[in-house]
Amino acid sequence: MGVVETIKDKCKRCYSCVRNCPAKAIKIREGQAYVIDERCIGCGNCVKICSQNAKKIESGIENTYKLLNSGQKVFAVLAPSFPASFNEFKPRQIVTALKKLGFEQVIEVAFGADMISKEYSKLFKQNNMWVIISSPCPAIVNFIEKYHPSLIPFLAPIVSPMMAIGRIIKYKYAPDANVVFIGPCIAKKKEKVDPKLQGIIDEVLTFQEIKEMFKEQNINPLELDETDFDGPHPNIGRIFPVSGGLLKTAAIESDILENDIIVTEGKDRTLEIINGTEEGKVEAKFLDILFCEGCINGPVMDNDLSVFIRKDIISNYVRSESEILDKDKYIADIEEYSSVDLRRAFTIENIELPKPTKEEIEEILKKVNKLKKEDELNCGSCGYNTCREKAVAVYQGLAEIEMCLPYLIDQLQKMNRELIQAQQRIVMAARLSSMGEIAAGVAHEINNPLSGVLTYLKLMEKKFSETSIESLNIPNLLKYVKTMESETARCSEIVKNLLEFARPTEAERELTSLEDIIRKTLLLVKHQIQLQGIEIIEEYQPYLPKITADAKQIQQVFLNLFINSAQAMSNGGKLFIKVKTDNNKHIITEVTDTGCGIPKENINKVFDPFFTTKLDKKGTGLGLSVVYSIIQRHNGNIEVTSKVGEGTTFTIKFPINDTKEN
Amino acid sequence: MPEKPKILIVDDELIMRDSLTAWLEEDNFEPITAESGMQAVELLEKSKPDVILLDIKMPGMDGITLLKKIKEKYEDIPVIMITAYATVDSAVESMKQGAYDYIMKPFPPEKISYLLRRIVDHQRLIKENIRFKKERKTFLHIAIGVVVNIIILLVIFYFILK
Repeated sequence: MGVVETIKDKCKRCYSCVRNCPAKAIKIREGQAYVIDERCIGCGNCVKICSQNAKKIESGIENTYKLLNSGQKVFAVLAPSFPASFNEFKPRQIVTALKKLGFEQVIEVAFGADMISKEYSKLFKQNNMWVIISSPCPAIVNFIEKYHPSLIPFLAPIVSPMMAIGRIIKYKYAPDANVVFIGPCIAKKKEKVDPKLQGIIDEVLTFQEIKEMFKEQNINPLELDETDFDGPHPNIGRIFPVSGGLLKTAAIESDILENDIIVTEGKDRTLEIINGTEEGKVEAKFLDILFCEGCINGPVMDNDLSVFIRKDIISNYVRSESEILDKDKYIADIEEYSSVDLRRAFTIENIELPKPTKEEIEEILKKVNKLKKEDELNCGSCGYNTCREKAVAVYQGLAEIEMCLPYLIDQLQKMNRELIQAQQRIVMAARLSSMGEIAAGVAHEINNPLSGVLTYLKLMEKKFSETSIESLNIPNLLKYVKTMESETARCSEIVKNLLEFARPTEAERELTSLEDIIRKTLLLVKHQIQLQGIEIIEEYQPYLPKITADAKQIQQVFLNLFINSAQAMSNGGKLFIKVKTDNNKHIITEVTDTGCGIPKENINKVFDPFFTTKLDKKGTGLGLSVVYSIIQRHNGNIEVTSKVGEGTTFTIKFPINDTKEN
Repeated sequence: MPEKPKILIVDDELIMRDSLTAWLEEDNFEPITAESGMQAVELLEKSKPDVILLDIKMPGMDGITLLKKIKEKYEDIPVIMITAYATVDSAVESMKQGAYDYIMKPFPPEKISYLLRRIVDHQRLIKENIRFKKERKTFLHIAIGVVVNIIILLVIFYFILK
């Protein structure tokens, strides 16, 4: 496992980690971000930035427990930033807590800081030839070793405070002890396993991890007594985790008028200064660079305190401790451990990836429709600063082609258009297929009367030619003519209904009283309906508002509905017509009959064109489909409920004319 | 004058039944009608028509189902299928089920008359053929009987004369 890993499926492809990774150590595969351990410098930016908490850090808890249970000596060395993390406890309560966990001694790393600052001070005084880059920040060291090896000669060849205290313990203080570092840093986990420094620090825990262990072991430092730190006590080295702390500790004076000492922090400024130095643009004697804004702002500091409050906490701690410091003991300790070797070396870790040619970059750009210079938007949404940078990353297998947001939006729009077109084709196909159905239905409906008419015509023709006028059976012939007339009318009715259904033209609309239309419609069919033994019961809510509608079409709706209801009550019954409004938003009309009802399996088909149960032989199956299409065109809707043997209710809703239209 | 051929019209459409009835009466047929499959089955039990005109699309029992029923019981009655809306499937199915012919609405009524006439003549020929075969068989029986009788008489006479 790498020091930082992505929790699978938690990654939501925001590419924040890609954008914020100074080492370009994030690889996107199938939309998931993976940290490439060899490229990772352990700065922890990706952990801090991930809103999904999809990054997890290699845990040292298990190994620490193993060490604690091994029966060997285990020392905890506490990074100088600890008061900023354990702000609610007294520092010496932490010592007690750690000892309760099983650590034999608890030593402050700050003493290591004190030790190395002496080395820095020496180096600074001796060297006038070239720039010195400070090296306590492992992320900076990793970054230079991996990506700017030309700057290696300028790195101060001095170990970090952690390694310094580790060596003091391992080389002199207690060579048989295991050392567990506890701090705010992820890169320390990488430093621990650096082949050049291996074997000094046995485990690295974050403040978070140690708090987790306290919780697991039910240790609450608040309830504990204070125990003093073991080992050599530090002095001003405690200020180390604050930005500029190294200079302060090493007593290197920074003059604002002389630009020979640069203290910088944060990813962007760090990159700027490192690039600048490499290009020879930075003229300074000393560069103190930290990836975070001081270790107090390390990637795994676990509380919400601001940098300033943390800084305050540290300063207060330094001050209060220096008051009680045994100066003689401190000087003696410094003297005692001055023999410990605090030098270190650096190596080039060449992890350079293949570089694409210009043509290859352009080939990749072409795949995301970037054909011209103007197409390169450099919007940065993919996590890379420029389209070309991203193309290089694609070439190197770090990025995926599809990570381009403008390209994806284009694709999405294209797909959306295609979907709309597909939908239109489906609608068209459905329309064509219903036209096919209509044609078949019309053929059936019209061929019957037509056939009859044709037969009568032929019959009459025959009679006229074969029989003398006097002996013609006139009443019989008249009967034929009458039948032909009504059958022809039936054909024209079918055609009319068909046209009504097929014609999608905009209706001629005006403010209309629905009540008037219904009353007029009833006049047309009342007689016929009542002849069938059907009682009509009308109920109108008073003062019904008007609707915007095509009166003729609405009349057609109710005509069809009434006829339909009458046909359902061949043995008589009651027809209820009820018109009301719901809060003046819609006019609701209910047409209820006490007829045969519609079986469940048919209820969804009643509005389909040419669906007919044909119980009444005159049904064309167009009536209700015409009703449906007219109501739809008036932005209304129709619903049907029915129970076989009890009757059917059609509920029609028309929106009441809103003032916007007028 | 020979007996009028009896034609059963099965169609749910009143206009079809009425107009065909009028036409066929005029053309010297004896039409009877049924407005549904059920009614047709009942009618068939009472009297056997010479030809059946059968509408395919009917509510309740459709034409094809009725055709199957008819063919089970009255294999020798020719059936002409009629439809207002033809599909290849229904035509093929009809012929497979033993329909004599298939005709589409609207049709000129002469066509029906012509078809019916042809079928009736055909049926009559078949019937006559059968009758003729029967008659020939009877004649042969009589002839043989006569010869045998004469021989017997001759034998008797011979014995008497002896």
